[in-house]
Amino acid sequence: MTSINPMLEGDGLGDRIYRRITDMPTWVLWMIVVVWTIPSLSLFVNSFRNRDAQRNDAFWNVVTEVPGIGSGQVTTENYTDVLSASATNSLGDSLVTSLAIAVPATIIPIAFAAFAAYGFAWIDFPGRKWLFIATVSLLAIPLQVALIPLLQLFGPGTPFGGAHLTIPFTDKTMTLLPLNDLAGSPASVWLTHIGFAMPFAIFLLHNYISQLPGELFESARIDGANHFGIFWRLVLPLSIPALASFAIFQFLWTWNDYLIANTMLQGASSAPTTVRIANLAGDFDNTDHLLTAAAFVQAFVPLVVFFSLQRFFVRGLLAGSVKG
Amino acid sequence: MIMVLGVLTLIGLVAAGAFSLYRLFGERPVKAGIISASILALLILIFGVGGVSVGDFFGGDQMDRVLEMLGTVLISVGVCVGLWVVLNLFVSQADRQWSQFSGLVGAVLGAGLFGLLRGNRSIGPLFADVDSTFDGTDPLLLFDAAGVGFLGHVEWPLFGAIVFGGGFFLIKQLKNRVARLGVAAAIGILSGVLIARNTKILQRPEPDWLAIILATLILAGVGAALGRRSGRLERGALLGAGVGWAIGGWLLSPFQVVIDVPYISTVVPLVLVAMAFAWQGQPSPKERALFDARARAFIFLGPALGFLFAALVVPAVRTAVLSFQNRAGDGFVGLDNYEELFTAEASADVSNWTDIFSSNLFFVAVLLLLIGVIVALVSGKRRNGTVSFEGGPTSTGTLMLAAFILSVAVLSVLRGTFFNNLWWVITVVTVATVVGLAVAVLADRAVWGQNLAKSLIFMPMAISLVGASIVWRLQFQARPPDRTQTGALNAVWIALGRLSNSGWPRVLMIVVLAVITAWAIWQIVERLRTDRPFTSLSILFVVAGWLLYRFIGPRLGGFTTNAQGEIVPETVQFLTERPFNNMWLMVILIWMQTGFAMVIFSAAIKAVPTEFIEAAKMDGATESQSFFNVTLPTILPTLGVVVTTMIVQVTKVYDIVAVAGLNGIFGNNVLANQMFTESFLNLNRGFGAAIAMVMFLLVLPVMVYNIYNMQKEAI
Repeated sequence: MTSINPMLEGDGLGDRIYRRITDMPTWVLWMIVVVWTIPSLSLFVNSFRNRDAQRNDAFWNVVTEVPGIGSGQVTTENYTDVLSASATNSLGDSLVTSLAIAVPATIIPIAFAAFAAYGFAWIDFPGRKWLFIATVSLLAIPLQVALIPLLQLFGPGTPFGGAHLTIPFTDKTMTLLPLNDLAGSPASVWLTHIGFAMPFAIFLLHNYISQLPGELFESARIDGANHFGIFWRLVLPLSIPALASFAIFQFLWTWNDYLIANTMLQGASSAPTTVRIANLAGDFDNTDHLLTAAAFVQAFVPLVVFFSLQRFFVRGLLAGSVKG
Repeated sequence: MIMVLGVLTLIGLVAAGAFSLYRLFGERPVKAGIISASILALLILIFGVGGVSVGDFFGGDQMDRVLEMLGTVLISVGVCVGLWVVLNLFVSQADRQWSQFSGLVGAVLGAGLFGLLRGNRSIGPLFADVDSTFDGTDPLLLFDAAGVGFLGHVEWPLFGAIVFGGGFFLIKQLKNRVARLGVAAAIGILSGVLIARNTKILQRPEPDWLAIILATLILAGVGAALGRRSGRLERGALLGAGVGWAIGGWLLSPFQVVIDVPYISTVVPLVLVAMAFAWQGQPSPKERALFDARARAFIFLGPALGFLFAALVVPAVRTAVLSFQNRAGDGFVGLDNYEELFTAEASADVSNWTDIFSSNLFFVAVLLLLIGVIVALVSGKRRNGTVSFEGGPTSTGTLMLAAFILSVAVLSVLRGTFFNNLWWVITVVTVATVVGLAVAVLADRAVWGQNLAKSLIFMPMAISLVGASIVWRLQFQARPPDRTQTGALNAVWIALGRLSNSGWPRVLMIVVLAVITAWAIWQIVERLRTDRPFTSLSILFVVAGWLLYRFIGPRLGGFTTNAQGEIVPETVQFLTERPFNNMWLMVILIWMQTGFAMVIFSAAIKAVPTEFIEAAKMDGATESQSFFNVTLPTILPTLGVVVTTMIVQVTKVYDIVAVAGLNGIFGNNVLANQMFTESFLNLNRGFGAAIAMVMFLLVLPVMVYNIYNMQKEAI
């Protein structure tokens, strides 16, 4: 944390002022930080103000509303409305749905991607390099290109959902996977998430697992261990940091996802928090004062994860982007 | 009592959380303490003071749903991992007990084959009358109402598992090839006859001998050729012949309502395939080792690639097909969907293109462009004695700024989803990258608090796009002009209007701005003389000069003059005023993506070898010179990574437009939102698929670039 002093010659006024300015990157930085934080701060402050206060006065006047000092419009009733199961606008249901989506959608891809990353890194088979490149290049595909068929796969189409194969050059169709009751369930969302998570997960974990010391595996091989033993006993324990990085990413991504949930759960009784809040936001007159508290409750889980596990998060980000 | 228990549980949970946080931040107990204390305070505030009891939160069937969720997680994770481990253990056993392994593989194959046939209702119940009039309409349920359906549906898979499993086990036990082939033929005949007799009346093919013979010969040849490469000529030929016969007999022969039982089409291929399997006895150790490697590759990669294939590759191909089809997806319409996307007013409207040349932005951009070119030519001449651009980055910044403003000028006039999307990509990627880089550089030189500052700028990345949209809707709020503004932006804008119409505060502002502008001009001239870059100074000059002009001349901020000549406040409708409501939405994404760029640039800047910078300083380079000539070129690959990642991210922006952008009805729609509306609300699947394909084509260059890079790096 040492500052590098600019080495400028000259004693002119401009040089002196220039030095002053470049000597103060800290202040410029913190000005940007203040601008960057005001939006979140205003949401947080507003979530503790009642409907009247939120509608009629700016959030920086909150000091005049604290009970005992000012008009007493600062309250926690927004949170009561959002969190009690009995309230009409309760978020409790959707919090559980969000968890029901995010937890399987985080754990299962980790397992699958770790297997695949090990396979790509340490099992020799023909075409390995090109298969890996093909897999990882799918990273860039916008998931919109898969949404319509996936909704048909899970949904109540005609005759029913599932995967059907029309055999080329004939008019014969066969059903490969009959599914007709996944529409509107969290499973349809997390199954979709698993598929979409794979390219990034494999890329991230492969970067890490391929850097592990190969001599270790070689000596284990000589001692009679097979790939399964090596993976289970050596690779898995060694790659905990990379697994944690990906877990954080995937959890944040699935918890915060709106597009897939909104597509798969249209009209379903159980919606995750993002869908619930977006619906609240569409209802301008009645519930917009609850939005602040709802948005904060929704953001609470990812924020805790983010601030407590930031090291792993940043590590994952860097491993995913800056190679070598 | 319940209340007390609830509070105790809460305290226990918080204590556990605090402890784990403390463990995570082993070296930094203070940070752990601050985080856990603030969480505790919030929980107390909400649950204690706010009066939400824990029981209330878990009221109704909430607890059941939590338990159900936990059950689902345990079962699905358990099944996935358990199956995988079991598969591995089987392959591990294969080496020692090859026959048992073969039997197992046979059982799975048999169950799968018959399950698929029965599941598709191509064959009737196993225990039905021969030549029954089975027409394939029985329901596909595991248990029917009477609870007896189960056996009626697992009979075929069970039969397949027993016959194929037992048969394969026996085959691998026999040492004599003729005996093995005999057993294989028996299995083929038995199952083939049974299938043939139970085939659905409407799905019995009339053998087309020419097709059968041709397909068999061709595929046998292919199989033999492929098999020869690994020394398995006979097996390949037999397998190919079997598959060829099946294709010829079933797919190329027409289905007819015939009474003939299709023995020829079922028995022969099954016998041939079984014989191919039986040709060889137990494999040699070398073959077993090879098999182990291949099987492991398959097991390790299978689950991931299977999901990738089923959830991404196959649907993408299907979407490509759908994009050439009509609304209902049952007829091809050629390129109509694409034509609509590029001609309809809502998606691509270029009718006002002449307005580009009359906009202020265009004028500014051209001016900057001219300045940039002139400066480049002048300094190039001064350095090299010739007129060239190779003089250095003296005016690169100015030219880039000009290009950026020009793109905004053009894209604010060309309307429609497609151009909006381009606008998003250009603006968000440029601004977020530049600001992210600036913050990274500032943080690198900051004397104190750089980690906390970085955390705070990074924080929006953790929030959902929906949450961010809610956050920014608050800032964009516009109330009637005579009321207190609750949105920060309108409050500032109106305050600015008051300031620029006030008395002496305005004069003070003019003086300050004049000093800043003059200083900037002087510095620019100074730097031109000494050949140093002045990008940031020219930005300062433009901004300060423009502000000065506004304060002296037409004034600035949210105000208007009413009929009585009084000056009254006026708000900006950030979300509905076209076309710049697009840019206000972009602010949201910039707010979120800057942190991403910053973190990656920070790491890259830290990785620049200090010797490089020291050496540059020795040569007398200034801070900014060493940045532009040493640091920036070194982190150029990282810049490529950040830009490509962001292009992909921004191309598919959806949530912001849907939630904050009022669903894109004010001329601010983007492709992803249009795709969602068309496919899932208007149910125009063909058009929706075409939009998705265009989005894919937009990121295709990025994909190719990434593949090229990866291929270069090699694994």
